Amino acid sequence: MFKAKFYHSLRYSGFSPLSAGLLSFFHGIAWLVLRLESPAWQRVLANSARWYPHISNRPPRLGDPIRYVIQSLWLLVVLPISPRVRQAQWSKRLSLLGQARAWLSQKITNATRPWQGEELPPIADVLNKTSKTLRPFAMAIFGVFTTALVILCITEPFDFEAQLVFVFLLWGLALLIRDIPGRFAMVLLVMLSLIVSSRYLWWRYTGTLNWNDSLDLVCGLTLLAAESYAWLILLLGYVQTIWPLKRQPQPLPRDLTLWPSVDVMIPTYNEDLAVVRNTVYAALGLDWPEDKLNIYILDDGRRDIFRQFAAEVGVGYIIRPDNRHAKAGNLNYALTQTQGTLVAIFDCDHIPARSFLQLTTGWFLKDDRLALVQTPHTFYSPDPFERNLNTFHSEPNEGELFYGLVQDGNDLWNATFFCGSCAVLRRAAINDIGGFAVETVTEDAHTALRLHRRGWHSAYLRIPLAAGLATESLSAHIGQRIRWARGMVQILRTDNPLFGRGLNLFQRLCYANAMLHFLAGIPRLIFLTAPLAFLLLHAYIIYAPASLILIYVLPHMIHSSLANARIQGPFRKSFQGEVYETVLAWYIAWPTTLALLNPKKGRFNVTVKGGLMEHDQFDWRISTPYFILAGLNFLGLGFAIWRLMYGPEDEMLTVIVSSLWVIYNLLIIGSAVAVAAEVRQVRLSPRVNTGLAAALRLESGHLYPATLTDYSDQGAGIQAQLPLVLLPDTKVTLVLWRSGRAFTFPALVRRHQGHFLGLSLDSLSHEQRTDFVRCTFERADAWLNKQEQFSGDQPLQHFWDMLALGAKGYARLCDHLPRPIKRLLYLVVDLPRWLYSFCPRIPRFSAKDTSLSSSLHPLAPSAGSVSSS
Amino acid sequence: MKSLTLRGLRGGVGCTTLIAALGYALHQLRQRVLLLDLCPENMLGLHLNLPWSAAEGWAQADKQQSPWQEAAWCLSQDLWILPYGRLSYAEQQPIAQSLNQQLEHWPERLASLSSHFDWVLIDQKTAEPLSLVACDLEIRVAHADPACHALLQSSLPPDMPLLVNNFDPIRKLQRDIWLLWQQTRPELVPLLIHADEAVPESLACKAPVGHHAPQSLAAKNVASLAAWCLSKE
Amino acid sequence: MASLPPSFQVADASSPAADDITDLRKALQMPELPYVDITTQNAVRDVLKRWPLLSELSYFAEQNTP
Repeated sequence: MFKAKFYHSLRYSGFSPLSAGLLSFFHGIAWLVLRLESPAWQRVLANSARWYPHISNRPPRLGDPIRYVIQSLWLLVVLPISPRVRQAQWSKRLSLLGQARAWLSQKITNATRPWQGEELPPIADVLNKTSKTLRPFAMAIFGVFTTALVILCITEPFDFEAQLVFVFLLWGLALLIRDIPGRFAMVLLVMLSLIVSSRYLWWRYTGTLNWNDSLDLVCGLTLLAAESYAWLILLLGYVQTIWPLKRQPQPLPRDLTLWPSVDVMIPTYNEDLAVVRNTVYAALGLDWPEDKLNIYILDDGRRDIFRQFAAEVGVGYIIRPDNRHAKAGNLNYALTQTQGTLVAIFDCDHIPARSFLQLTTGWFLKDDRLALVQTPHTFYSPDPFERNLNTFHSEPNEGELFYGLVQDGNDLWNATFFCGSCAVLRRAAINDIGGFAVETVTEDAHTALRLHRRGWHSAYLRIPLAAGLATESLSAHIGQRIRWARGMVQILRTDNPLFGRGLNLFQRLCYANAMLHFLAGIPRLIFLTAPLAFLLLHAYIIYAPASLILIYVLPHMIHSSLANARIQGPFRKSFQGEVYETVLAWYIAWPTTLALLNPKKGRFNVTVKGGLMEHDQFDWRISTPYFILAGLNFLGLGFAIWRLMYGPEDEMLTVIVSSLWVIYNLLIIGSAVAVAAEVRQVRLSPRVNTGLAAALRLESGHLYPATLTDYSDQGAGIQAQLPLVLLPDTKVTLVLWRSGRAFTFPALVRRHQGHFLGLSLDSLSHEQRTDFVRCTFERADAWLNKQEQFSGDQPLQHFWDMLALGAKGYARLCDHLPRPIKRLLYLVVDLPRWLYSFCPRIPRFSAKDTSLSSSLHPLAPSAGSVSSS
Repeated sequence: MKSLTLRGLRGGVGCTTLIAALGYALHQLRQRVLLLDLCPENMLGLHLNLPWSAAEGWAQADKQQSPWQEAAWCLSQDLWILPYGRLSYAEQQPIAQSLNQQLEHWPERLASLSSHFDWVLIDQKTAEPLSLVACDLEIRVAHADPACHALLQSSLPPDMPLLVNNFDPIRKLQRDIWLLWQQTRPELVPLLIHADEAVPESLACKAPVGHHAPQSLAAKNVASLAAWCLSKE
Repeated sequence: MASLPPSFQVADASSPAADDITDLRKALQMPELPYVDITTQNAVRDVLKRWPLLSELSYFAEQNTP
């Protein structure tokens, strides 16, 4: 009878009669032979999660009897006499090491406390104390001394042992400095990284080119050019981001009559009204005096529904007779039709918070020559990377580095440039340069460049005050980046920031860095194919022994990743930039080269916003270049194996090093492939998660407190304190508050699950929609603290994560292959895994207990007890 | 011990129900509460499951010269109610005339209870301009309607906290008046008691709203009000 | 008459009403940030325009406050 129950449960779980019968048979034998009812066995069975962790935590499988036998034998025979003891010793040693390290880092942190602030280190105090006449001499001597030291470090040729010692010294120094908080330590790390990288590059230029062989030379020079580019970008990046300004909002005067008049412009071309109207509603709700605020929809599509909408809600509607020069032309035309002192520009899907103007415009009153205040572009929907890799809100997205750090760093040098949206500009400044720039496809950066040349200032406020929709698919994303890349290179060719009047040195460097950044396509392709030069063509691209290469290259990579992790910590996961660059490399290589050669050519392709990904799919077209690159690298790997087997002895190390490089490249390409596996997007209007107080009113007159857990353009999700059983299509009223004002919205219940209810808000009037936007999207704090606290500065962990992502990418690719190939591949991958499941495991000794969450219902006291005092 | 009373701006704003609910909510916050009904209508007890037929109360006890303490009912440990008592219409008239004299005793009586209770909540007639029994915390209760708005303009002590009861968020006029009061009346208590159907239903079930419908918004509002009262120490 | 007494102008940090502005100040770590809640002021003005009784009484209150 017991066996029968077991058999039936197995059949219910999906086992075939034969396997279920077999398992039940063994189960029965076990009970009969071993007498499992005895207390000793019962105790073992009670702790089966501990003794048989790989079997008891999973549903039963056919090989389980064998697994039990193997694990039991191992537990009885092998474990007592074995490495458990050794293992404990090792773990004790490691923990001692960890403790020693912690003690050391604590000591260092305490010793260097005065050097941990955000300001200049105490050296500056010493300099200030020396007398004025001596000071230039002191600084000159100091400058000469450090320059000589640095040049010595970079150019002194070391032999292998000396270089090894030097490398370990610097590495140890960097590890010690890492633990010290504060800006000074960051500057030191940067300097170390620059010294090591410059040394590497010097060595490459002076010692690793083979002038005798033309193939070697050509390959070597190509790689060297790419590495020089990377070094230049590294240097400029450090300069740009080492001292972010962190500007605060400037308060406006108390007297409202002194506030400037603002024209809010919302250009649109072919987007849906559903996307644009929330921006318009939010603009209507901006906290600004009504007589000084004018809102305009700039409709290049000249659509009637937009005109009607504008008339209904009471905003301006501007159209022009043609569509020349796309958005820039649209804005220029609108400038002729309006008069406000300031112009605020929002892309049609960027919904501003109501505090936008009061936080940004103060600076215009403080600085007469200020032409631009830019704020970050935040997205409330995931971009293709975040959606396909499932990292939305858990890791920073691609834009975080630029909007969180780079623009802030630019701000220090007065080099913040316009990004096309979420910004306020001074009309007089735009008129001074003759309107928005129309010659290139990135008209925003070009406009800012022109403003800077005319001596206008710009500012950046690192406060997210508006949020919009991210690009919908990888192909749309790439299309957008191609446009930016082409435009930036066009500017580089036609209006080079390194030459020409009006800019100071640092502005030139910042602009140049922004533009050079987009030339990364070809260098990245070179890096991805460089090791193949040796493996396929037997060309010595780096003409040096492999061991020497390792001790030059590895410190270069390690120090730059340490320094970058420190600087970019919360804004970008280390090595994520490799993934972003690889995805874009192929696609921006050719347009940028074309634009370098001939800036006039090239079409302007508009980014489409607001589409829907119907189902999970793999973007084969977009990922073709990745396959080509991966294919070449696999070929290289094959050649590597052949060379290992048949090649000359002294080349072994070189082959191994090249193979490691190829594997690294393959994994990076794998992560690009991972991004191409598009994940289905479930709903048209993305949801924003939140936690606002709300209430639900039923038609019966009952009200229940609730929390608004998410909202979107068309609905909301709420969590009630007790499960409300409401049928779909029940009419309810959602009550929300802002600033103590109550707002009500008629809604329909769409679904309910336990405490959660999904509501749809389809039929709202303009006023109700405006109120809804007021309570949700437009709250002054809506976009602040959107990112979970991301703890950056773990470069090693992120390195492994990236490699794992690469492997996962290939796995996802297999998911999308046609079925016969998929089955074959699964067989190949599953076989080792299946064999591994038979291996005995170390029993787990930590108990995990699951506590049930206590229910929140209060106990009802008894009422009406009758007694007299 | 703190004494608290709710003075309605006009009749029918729901003071009695609110006192019962507030007493229960304070008791939930571990306060020792006595509810004292000084109104001849004797409605307070109905909110707390006292039988309508029970005629005992302190007024009766006073008339019969028996100890007034014995007229109290214990609802739960540390939650007591002292009802007025049910009088016939004939009996009510002479009592009403001597109301002022009756109520003279109360300040001393309350003083004698001060060690037994943390709060005494007093339900008084709203018609009088001044409180008949002075209390430590007096809250004016109103509805967010035009009549109450007009009544507020007459010179009342401006520092008496003003509480809005029966707020129906669906009604635009109520939302508008609430907004106006928020911006113009600093004495406004920063919370609302919503017009929840659970409130009359609780009376119909002879229980305070915090006991009958603890998950309702009205019960949550009253709990917030109790916390606010505690913070006024 | 639909006008606001001058005492309304600035919603200061102690007013419990402006919840998202309070959160904004907290997030920016600028508790003294001056902010004018213009949309709420406009809403009050609309209320007074909409209901004559309220506007008359508020005028009366305005005249009689010292």
